[in-house]
Amino acid sequence: MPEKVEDIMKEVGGLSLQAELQRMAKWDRDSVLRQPLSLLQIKQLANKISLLPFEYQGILLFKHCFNNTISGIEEMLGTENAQGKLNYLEKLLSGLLGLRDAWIATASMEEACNLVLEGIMKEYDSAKIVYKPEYSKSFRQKLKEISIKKSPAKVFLFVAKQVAIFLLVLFLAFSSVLVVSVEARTKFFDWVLETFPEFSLFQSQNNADQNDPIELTDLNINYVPDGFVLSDMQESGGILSYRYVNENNMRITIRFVRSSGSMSSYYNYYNTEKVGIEDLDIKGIRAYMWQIDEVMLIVWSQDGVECHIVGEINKEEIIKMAENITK
Amino acid sequence: MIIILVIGVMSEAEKDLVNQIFSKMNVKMYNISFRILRSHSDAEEAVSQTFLKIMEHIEKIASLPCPQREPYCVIILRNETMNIIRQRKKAVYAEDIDYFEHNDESYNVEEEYIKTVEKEKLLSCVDSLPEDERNFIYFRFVHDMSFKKIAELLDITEEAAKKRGQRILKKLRSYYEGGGQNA
Repeated sequence: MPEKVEDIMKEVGGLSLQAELQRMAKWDRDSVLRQPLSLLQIKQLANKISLLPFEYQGILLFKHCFNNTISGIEEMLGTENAQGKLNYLEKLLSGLLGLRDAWIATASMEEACNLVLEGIMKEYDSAKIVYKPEYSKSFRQKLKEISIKKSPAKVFLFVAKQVAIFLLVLFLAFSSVLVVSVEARTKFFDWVLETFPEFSLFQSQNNADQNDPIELTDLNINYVPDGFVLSDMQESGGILSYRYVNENNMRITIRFVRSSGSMSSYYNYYNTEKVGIEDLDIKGIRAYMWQIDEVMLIVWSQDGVECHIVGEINKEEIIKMAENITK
Repeated sequence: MIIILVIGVMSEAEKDLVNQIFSKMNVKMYNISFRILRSHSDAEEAVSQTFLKIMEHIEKIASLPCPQREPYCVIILRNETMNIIRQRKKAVYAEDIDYFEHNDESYNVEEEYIKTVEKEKLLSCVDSLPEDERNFIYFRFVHDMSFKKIAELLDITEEAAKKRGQRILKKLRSYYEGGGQNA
């Protein structure tokens, strides 16, 4: 094709896309029917996302991995109409995955984006260092202006802990159960629920009495809802995962994590923005449960192991599963 | 100047965090950008722009769980690196424009008007295409995606993607010759 035709198509295509994005910006996301994807579809989706231009990938990752606001995404990427682009992309990807009248469920988008991010970080980690940067004098000067005097890690941890303690104090102050029940308060302190504006960190704190922790495989799953069969089991780095699927491609993931290794894991951080976290009693142990779209999540700690169940099942079923995990 | 303003409003803990991220990541960031940009000054520009963004948004970064901070910064770097590539393309176009402004004596308003009308007509033809074909035009011409990538995205072969591209252009031509009203 002659270069001129390509230039004209670029210009005209660009104008058409702009108009399309303007239309998409007005799309009511809340009224869209959302459909969860199977594991295989999530992998396909991740593959498709990684083929998209970097700007589009950035929008999806900032939204679904880091929960940035639309204005935050625009600022970060120096882009315009991020809402229109996000809607356009989600509609486009839903179509590419073969969904006709529905868009991909938010939880599935998040899972796929996290897979993409994992891939990007693998690439980043394996990148070879060939050159030593030679920054200009002016840039070095700017860096000097923010040079540190204190140990950086300690200062930040101090701030983070202050936030966590503040939230714990708030939680205690407003929880009547915890005020009246010593037993309940003790159980509460089995967990530190560190809540940031958009995420919650669940970390078991009961390592002291776990001198002889059990093997992850010692925990038995005694109940799985009808129709679900084991599709995959993986163990690595102190994490044991079981994945179950049913014939409608609905999934349940059970993950056992060694409590001692939790700080280095991604999996204990959950996006809990705009969700109500319910705390409940499972076999005398405090557990936390919440729902995102059609997906239920529950976390608790038993026998020195952090247990996580994530699945497209209802509240009663997920509680029953949790109650039926035994040594 | 912007950096000085940003530094002015950062707390000590935030400055420390920026330093911590810089110490840990800058060399790798530089090498990744250099591999894409093949220019030391551009790689430096990408890293400095990335850290400017990090400083501007350090509050958000500090609020992220620790394991997410590094990935967050890598995504910023990728975007800043692509911005430099885009700026390079624009610079080339700007040079072309200067050249024509000084040398093209045949330029006249009437010719420009005809071009504008033709483009509007073509735009109406593109808008008349079905959604999947419009998306194809966007992938190929707006985002400069290779046929190989488009093929992967659409789960078809590269050859099939090329043929689909030709078919869409042929259809556009037929719309255009028919007056742009064939939707």
